[in-house]
Amino acid sequence: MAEQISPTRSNLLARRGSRRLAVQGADLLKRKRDALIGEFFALVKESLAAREMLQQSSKDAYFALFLAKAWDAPEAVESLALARPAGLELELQVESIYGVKIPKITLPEFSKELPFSPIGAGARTLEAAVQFQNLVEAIIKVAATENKLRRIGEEIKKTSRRVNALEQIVIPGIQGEIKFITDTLDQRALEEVTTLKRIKAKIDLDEATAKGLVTAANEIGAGL
Amino acid sequence: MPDNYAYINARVRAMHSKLITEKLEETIQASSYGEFLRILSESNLGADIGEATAAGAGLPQLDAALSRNFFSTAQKVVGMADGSSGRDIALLFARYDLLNLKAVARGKIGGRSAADVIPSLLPAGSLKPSVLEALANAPELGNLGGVAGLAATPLASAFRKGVAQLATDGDLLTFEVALDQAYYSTALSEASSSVLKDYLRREVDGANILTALKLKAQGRTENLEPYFIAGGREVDKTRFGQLASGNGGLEGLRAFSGLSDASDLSSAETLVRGVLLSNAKRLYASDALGIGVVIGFLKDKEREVAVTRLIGRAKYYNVPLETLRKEVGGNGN
Repeated sequence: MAEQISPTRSNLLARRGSRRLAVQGADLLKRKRDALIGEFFALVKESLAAREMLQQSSKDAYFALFLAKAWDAPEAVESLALARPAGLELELQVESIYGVKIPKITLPEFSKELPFSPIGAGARTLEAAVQFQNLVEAIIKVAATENKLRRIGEEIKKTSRRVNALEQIVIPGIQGEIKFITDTLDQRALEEVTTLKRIKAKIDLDEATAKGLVTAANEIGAGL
Repeated sequence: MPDNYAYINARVRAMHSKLITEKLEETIQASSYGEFLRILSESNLGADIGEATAAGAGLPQLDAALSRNFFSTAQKVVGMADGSSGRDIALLFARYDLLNLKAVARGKIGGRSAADVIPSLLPAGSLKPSVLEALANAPELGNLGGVAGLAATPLASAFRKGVAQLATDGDLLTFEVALDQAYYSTALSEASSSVLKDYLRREVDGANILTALKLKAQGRTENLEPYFIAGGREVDKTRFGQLASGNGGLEGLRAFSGLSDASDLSSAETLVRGVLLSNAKRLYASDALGIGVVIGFLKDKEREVAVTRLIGRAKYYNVPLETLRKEVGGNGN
């Protein structure tokens, strides 16, 4: 790669600028990665709590359903379930954490009002319905935190890859180019100095010959 | 004196003696779900339990078997009677029509398919399974009132009227409350037996108490009147309002005096069920030549099915024996 670059002073300046930018970029990415790691570990705690809540809610909800189906009859439970719409609409917003786009899910608000007659509706079925609303909330919470966690994790990996690419490939590459240009320019400068010295010695020899004062030093300097 | 209760009650007593609740302890002690099914297969439930014992069968098959058994038992009892006893027994079993008609309306208003609605139907009332299927398959709410065979239930006219209104305003809650009211008012006005009327009045009290507590849990304080069922013995409108608003209402209750100890709605329901069950048991023992035996048997049969479902679930999921005993014992046993 370095061989294809024109070893000019302007290229050298451009490469030095690129190196400065790459080092600053790597530094910035490292700081972003550190911030994301901090966010990730804070979320791990939240995620574990959400998982624990989900487990407890599942246990409570299924035990409540267990009792409701036993005491109120499965047909009555199924029948009351028909009165509520089968789906659930959720409100999603996208928020940005250090440039990572994360969906923010708003927990649905369940109405306490019953869409069916409370006369004859089994208390255990109503209790199971409340427990399942809690379960839905717990599922949404787990989905939201784990999605956030996964996206931040992916961003940490991506940022680390970028830092590595800058530190291991881009910056050493630019360093190599700078070295190549510097070496070439130094070489050219040396050659110019040598040429000038020899011209000067030739002029000195010509002047000495004209005056008849040629010395051995004049002859060596002129390359004779 | 009712016409043929001597015959009906002799048969009902014979059916009662075979209830599995008589060997409840044996089923609770069953070491596994398989062992539990074995005990059931040797009981009065044996004829219906076949599918539940097949390889790969689980709780849905057990539930279906128990529902089938309850349905066939109900059909037997309803089929034994005619004349005034037949009408009274049909009124008693019309509560299942009420549940089925509400389920059909819920399904239709929610745009559910017949396949969604049919599992929530229990054909233990006056409506035949074919009529219930026709109701579930009716394409729209407006068609429900015209289904052939609907007239078999005492709730037919209330249902037709309610469905016509429901098709217009889509107000399921008002429809259901009106149908609930229609069931109790029809049963109380058309029952010829004073024992049945007395039992229904007690049941109305229980329903009013629980409805008031449910309204209280919802935080509803206004427009409570439509939910009050008239005809109870102890719970009048004032007491209903007090219970619903949380301003007393429990003092002075005789049959349901234990309600002040109920910590939540479920425990209140357990207590109300217990009171109604012991009332039914008392009628079973005392009204030898009346509908009391049928009422007692119906409540015991309902309890048998519920307890069997509970024990079945407990055995299927390996629920600890102590938890199971507490749940069975805490519900009127």
